[in-house]
Amino acid sequence: MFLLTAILAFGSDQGLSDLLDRSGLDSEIALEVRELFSEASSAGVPEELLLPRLQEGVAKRIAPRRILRALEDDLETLLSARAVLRSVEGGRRILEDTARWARGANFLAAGRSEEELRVVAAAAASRPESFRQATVLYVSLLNWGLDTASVVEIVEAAVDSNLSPEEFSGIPELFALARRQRVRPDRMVRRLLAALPRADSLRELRSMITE
Amino acid sequence: MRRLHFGWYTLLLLIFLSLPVSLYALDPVIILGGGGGAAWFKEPDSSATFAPFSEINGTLGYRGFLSDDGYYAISLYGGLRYYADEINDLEDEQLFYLELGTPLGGLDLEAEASFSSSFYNLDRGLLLFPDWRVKLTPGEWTHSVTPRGIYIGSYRFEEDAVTDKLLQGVRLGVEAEPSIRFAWYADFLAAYERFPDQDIGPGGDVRQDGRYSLLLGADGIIGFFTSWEIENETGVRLSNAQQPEQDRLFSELDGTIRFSPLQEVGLEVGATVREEYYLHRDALSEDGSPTGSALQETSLSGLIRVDYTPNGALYFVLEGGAGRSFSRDPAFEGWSSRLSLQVEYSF
Repeated sequence: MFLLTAILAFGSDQGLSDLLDRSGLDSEIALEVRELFSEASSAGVPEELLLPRLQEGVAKRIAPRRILRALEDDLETLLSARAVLRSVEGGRRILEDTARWARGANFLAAGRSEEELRVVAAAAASRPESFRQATVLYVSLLNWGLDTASVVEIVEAAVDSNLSPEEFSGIPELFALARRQRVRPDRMVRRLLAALPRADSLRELRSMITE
Repeated sequence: MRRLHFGWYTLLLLIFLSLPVSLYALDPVIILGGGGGAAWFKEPDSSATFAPFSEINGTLGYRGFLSDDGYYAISLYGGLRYYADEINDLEDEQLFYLELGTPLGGLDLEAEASFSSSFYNLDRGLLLFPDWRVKLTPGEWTHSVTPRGIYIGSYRFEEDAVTDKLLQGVRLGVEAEPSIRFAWYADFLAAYERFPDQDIGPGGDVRQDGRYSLLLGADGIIGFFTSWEIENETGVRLSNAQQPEQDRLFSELDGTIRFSPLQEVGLEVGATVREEYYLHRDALSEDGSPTGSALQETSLSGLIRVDYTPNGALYFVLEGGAGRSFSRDPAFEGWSSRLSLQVEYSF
């Protein structure tokens, strides 16, 4: 959601003042919002990462206090994500792109822990452009039922492979395919880890390890 | 014929053993299964048959990498099925499968060969069915649409039936994968089929057909754990057989969707529709007299499979399927249904 709203915001010329002027928020809330954006700016959080939440709240006529709380939560999550990413070797390269920063915050907002973000960021640090897809791969495999250690190994192997980041989202389906062939999950993990360094594309990977 | 049967296995085993020693083998997959169910079907000129059955089967699969960016796979399957009640008989089934993929010059080669057999098939007696396929695509093609050529072949031997068939064919076409979520292909198929058991005249000629068709297919992924595929083949069969005439137009549409939202659960739904329109043959009525209408046959079939695993090794599989053929000619009408429950264990 962070990422989507941030992307939407990039396409908008509507700045904070303009939005507040037209929002109909009472002056007290508007002042608090300005203060929050000012605090964010002082902390180095770009306006573009918070503005979409305000736009969304105003457009949906959500109660002003709830909008403010949501903005406070977003700011807190963005700061936490930044702290985690900065603590990882190579993590600053991930932060160079605000969309990736927003993705890290979104990862935390979705209920994942800071430790998990640290692990995924470390796995993706050698190829920062794959960070977003690495988090998607991590979450999808974990939600499907694989254990954390295996998922981390797969994410690391995917980042180190010749697969394009966009192809990462095809990896979960290989587990569903292997399942139909009754390949046990632990063996499928080993297959994948053995095949990823050899494959130049998802298609090649699929041919190598599944019927 | 049994000597030939074992000869095939020996040949394929030798091919496998002679592969380069630099093979990297992944863990083998061993699956044992057993279960039971019931089939209920009606064939033309017979009453409906209800057949409870029980079965056991096993699969051994190897897969690995060749030294030069290639891969191989080999699997063996064997099964026994016992039909109770009216049928009261046992049939067996075996399958040997070999697959190879490797760069070859400037091309990518994919080759598959299988040999399915039954020492005693209830309808066919001894059944032998070698089947092979070789696909070539450009190795370094940079365009999204890739040309491809596929050679297919098979020979079907059925001891107690006259439907033995040799097939040789070529598919030429293109394939494309515009995104990881969607791929499609289009092929033209020209195939020669020879039926050695079907004499068509006193000269000793046997039935020979040409099959010419257009195949269009697509597959894709929805979300992360749902996949689908669809294929249509539309074409014409031209035959030298006159009694009865075999020339016909045909079209078949197959579709499957598979879904595994969690590691524990899997769902598969498939359906097929096939239409055949004979060009020079009338549908016959029950007494064998021509109806004056061209013979036409429509077949529908569907399959649902649900499985559950508590641990990724033990699987409970519930499967149901049904099919029906419609035609003005009662000799082409029939239906079948099947329900089974199987327990499988993957070692």
